[in-house]
Amino acid sequence: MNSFVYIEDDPHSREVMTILLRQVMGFEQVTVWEHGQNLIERLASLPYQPSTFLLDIHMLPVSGYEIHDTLRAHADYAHACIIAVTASVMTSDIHKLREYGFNSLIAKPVKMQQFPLLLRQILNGQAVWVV
Amino acid sequence: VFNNLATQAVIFRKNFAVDIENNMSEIVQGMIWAGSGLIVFLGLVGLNGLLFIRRLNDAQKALSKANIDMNRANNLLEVRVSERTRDLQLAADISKTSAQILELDKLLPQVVQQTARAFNLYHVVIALVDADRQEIVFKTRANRQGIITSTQRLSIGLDTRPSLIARAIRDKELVLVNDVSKSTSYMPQAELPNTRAELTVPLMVRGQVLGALDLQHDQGNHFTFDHQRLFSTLAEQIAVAIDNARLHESEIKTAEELRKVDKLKSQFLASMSHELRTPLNSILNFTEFVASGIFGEVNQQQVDALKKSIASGEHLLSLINDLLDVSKIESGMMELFIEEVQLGPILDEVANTARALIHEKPITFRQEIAPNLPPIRADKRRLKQILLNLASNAVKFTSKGHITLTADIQGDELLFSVADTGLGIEPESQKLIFEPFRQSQSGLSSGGGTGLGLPICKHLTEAHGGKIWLESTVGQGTTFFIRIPTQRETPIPV
Repeated sequence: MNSFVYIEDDPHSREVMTILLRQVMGFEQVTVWEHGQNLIERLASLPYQPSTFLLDIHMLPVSGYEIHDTLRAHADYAHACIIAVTASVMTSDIHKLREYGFNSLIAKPVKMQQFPLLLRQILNGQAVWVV
Repeated sequence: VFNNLATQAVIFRKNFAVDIENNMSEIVQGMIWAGSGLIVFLGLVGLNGLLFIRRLNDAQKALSKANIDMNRANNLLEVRVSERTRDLQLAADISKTSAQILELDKLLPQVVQQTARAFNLYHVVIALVDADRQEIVFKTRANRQGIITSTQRLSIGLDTRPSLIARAIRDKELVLVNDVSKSTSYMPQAELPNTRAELTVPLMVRGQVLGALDLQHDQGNHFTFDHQRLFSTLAEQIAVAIDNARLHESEIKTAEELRKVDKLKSQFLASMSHELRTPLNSILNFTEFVASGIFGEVNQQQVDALKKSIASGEHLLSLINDLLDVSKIESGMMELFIEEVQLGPILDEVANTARALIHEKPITFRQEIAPNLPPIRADKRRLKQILLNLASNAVKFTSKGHITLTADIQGDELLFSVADTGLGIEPESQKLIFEPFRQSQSGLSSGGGTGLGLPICKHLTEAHGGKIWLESTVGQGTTFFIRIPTQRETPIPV
């Protein structure tokens, strides 16, 4: 069962992703947060253990990179699928994401026609780096 | 001598004649007279001879003295010549050293110290003009022991009087005072009590005065005409060296500033790209959601309107992506992710997009794809980007006829082409269109695009180790060709 946590500070982007995951793709276990503070405590309070994380990168005070590291350092999420969903797609950003150990990247803006296909590929175990 | 002799002879003859006319005793007496006259005569001859010999001696002495003087002068000349040769050599050494140093902070101390030592000078200064502050700054000073270090900034006004340095700089002329006690231009300095002679030479480049080379000696009348010429030449060399060093420093500064500007530009583009993409995420997706009917039923007119909105949003996104690509290319950050690529799906996608773009235009889209094309090692996304760019250009500039996409294998290379029956490209534009922000006349008049598509295609093709070119006839159409090696492990840095 696929379950998601999406962390994103832009409210409209949160809404877009919620619609894509719930209404377009039909997933039910979707949690959307606006920041990554107290992450582990909040994860523990969820009724399910998320298998896939979608992370915006440029966020304050906790960046997507830091959230990634926090997750990887925790036994429950060390092997979770972590996808960067970011509008920062300079070569240096992409290198940094790869170095950190993100599983995939889907650049913003995401596309309604394309996103479901890409996400399914990722959930099937492929690494997808789409700018 | 002979005059004397003649006079004596006349006297003698007169006496003798008189004596004969008188009596004999007088003859005897006369003979005595004659004898004594003879004696006197001989004596006089002898005396004259002696005098003559003495004069001969004197001449000889004078001659030998002249000889000695000449030898002495010769020696002196030789010394002077060797001194001058040595001085010229020293000056040449200094200018050679100065030409090799490109940092002003190292150049001036080296020159000043070397000059003081080489010419045994009491004090040497290089002063430079600070035009902004109307000042002369004493940059570096040295004496026979070496550099005089000073932490404070020593300067005088350009209009300072008396000052040989200020005068030389103002007048752009050499100033020489060989006895400072008698000069009104000389400015006595407490820390230089022994200065007796001072020579100041302006440092000139291209008619501009940069400053002055000031030389002081503790012996009066030290500086000769040769010195003036020597130090004038040296000053010219030093001025050129200073000018070079300044140019070098300003080049370094400019390069640093350019690097900073470049970094700022990259940062700006990166953040601009991020800031523009984020709202597009909402614009495109909410429009798509409405158009797809997930928020409720929409009629065809509404769908059409929303689709146009989406198309415009996507166009805006492609422009942002082009700008981002160019900034990546220009900062050398464009990298390819080389992998094994199957060409079939890529060519299908290009064909589908081209057909969608043609929409209702009277254009037929044709594919001439060689069978069994092998997979190639390339960046899949970038290869698709190149072909899509060429296909969408073809659609944009063709109003009727056909567009043909071909792919063929030639040896170990793949040859793609996109041919159209469109406007064609004027010969003078054919090279320009691969340069950023340069569009052909028809490109400009079409009002579309950023003029970045083809430069990006060129860069991406070359980064694959390939080549892009075109053939075109105005009014008949254009064909773009791309040749890419099938096997390449690493991208080519372009």
